[in-house]
Amino acid sequence: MGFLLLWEVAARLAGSRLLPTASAVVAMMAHEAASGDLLFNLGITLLRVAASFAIAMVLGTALGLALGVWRWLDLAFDSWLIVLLNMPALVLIVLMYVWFGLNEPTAVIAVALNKLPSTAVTVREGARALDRGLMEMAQSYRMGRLATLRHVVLPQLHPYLFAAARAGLAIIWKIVLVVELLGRSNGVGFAIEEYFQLFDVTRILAYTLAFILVVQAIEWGLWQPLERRANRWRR
Amino acid sequence: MGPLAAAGAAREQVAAVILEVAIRRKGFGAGKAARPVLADLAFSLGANEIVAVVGPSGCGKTTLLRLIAGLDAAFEGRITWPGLARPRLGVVFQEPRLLPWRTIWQNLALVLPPGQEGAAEALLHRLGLWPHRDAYPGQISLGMARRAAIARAFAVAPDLVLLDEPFASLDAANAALGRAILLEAWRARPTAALLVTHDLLDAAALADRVLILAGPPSRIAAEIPIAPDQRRNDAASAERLATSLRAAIAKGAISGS
Repeated sequence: MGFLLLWEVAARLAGSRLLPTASAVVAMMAHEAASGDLLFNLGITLLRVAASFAIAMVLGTALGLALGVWRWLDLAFDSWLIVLLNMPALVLIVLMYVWFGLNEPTAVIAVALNKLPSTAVTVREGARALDRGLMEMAQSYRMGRLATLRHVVLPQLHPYLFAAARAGLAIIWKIVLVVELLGRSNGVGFAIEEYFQLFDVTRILAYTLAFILVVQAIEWGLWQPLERRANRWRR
Repeated sequence: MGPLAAAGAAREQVAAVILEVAIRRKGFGAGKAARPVLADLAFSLGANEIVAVVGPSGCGKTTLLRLIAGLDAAFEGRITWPGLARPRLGVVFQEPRLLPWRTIWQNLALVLPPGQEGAAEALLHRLGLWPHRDAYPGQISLGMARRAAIARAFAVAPDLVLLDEPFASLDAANAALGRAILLEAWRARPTAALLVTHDLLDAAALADRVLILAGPPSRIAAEIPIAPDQRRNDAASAERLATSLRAAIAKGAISGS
């Protein structure tokens, strides 16, 4: 709230077309939402975010677990992981587009590949710290692989998974915009490129604000309730 | 083979042997650092029989249990289960090892074979845990958590219950309570049990037969059967029995390794 006020005052003082006031941006957001353009582009982008996020989290968690549990695998993959971790997002996206074409699956996978290594590295830390006593308990009571994963392993990884999910969502939606800007004809990234050509800062900020609202809603409506649920057992 | 003193003649005819242990050698480390822990250690266990393995701390008792539980396969020798294709084990570790993020009931339910829910419920009632079934392990006392671990071990309809110093960190009064609870669970669901402990009182209060370990490397230095009329009596007679066991061991019933 304080931030919005500061923005409003600064923008009014500057009086420039390149720094619209907060009220103008909010009004534009409402206008664009009413016209349907904003919701369409936002929806498309969110779908891409969701798909990339799901792929990066599932595969990243599986990889991280395997690396944390099996040392030889960790040794074999470590340098690959570091290469992928430090590969600029833009390079990966461009290469993927060049090799596999400007299509939807390539876009989604390119984004997922950008996030996957950091998820794997985070989960690997958690997997290295798994409680051996509980694993032995599960083994001697013959809990089975799936039950052990669900009831013994994953609960221990919850803090790591939440950290990876939060950081992941933040980075993924930024990268999705780049992917859209470079090779898609819809979505928030595409829209922002269009308004960039027109120097329409008001619309650019309106789209950004809309997305920030969505991310905030996910934090409050999804991560925090999930986290409360996962932490019920802690006193 | 190490000398088996009181064994032989005194050995009882047990109806059905469910476990045969014949460990030739078990050690840790390799090369110069290799350290043998168990050697030429053999015994068998009958159905519904409680056997106590007694030895000083660090003599390899926990290692022995881990071998039997199948948690460590790196040893020379054989551990076989006559007549059991896939023996079901209940294990009571030194710490309760309950899943902190699951309730007491869930901790039991997760390992129960199908159809054992009623028996598990009865055990929780009998051990005074039923009112706490929906509590998380962090919300109950350590004593209750240990009780829950004992309930879990007996609830799975085990062929054998393995107990690793379950009362080691308790004071005398609570250890006595722990033994009473263990007996209560065993009477509710009789099963073969192998109890490793450093405390002869545990053995005297619970066992049909006591194996004394000596080493290193540890082997069975003496096998002492407990007369049927002396088994699992009240606390006072258990104390007396423990004293006489201690005297018998001191007098040289064991010749050591």
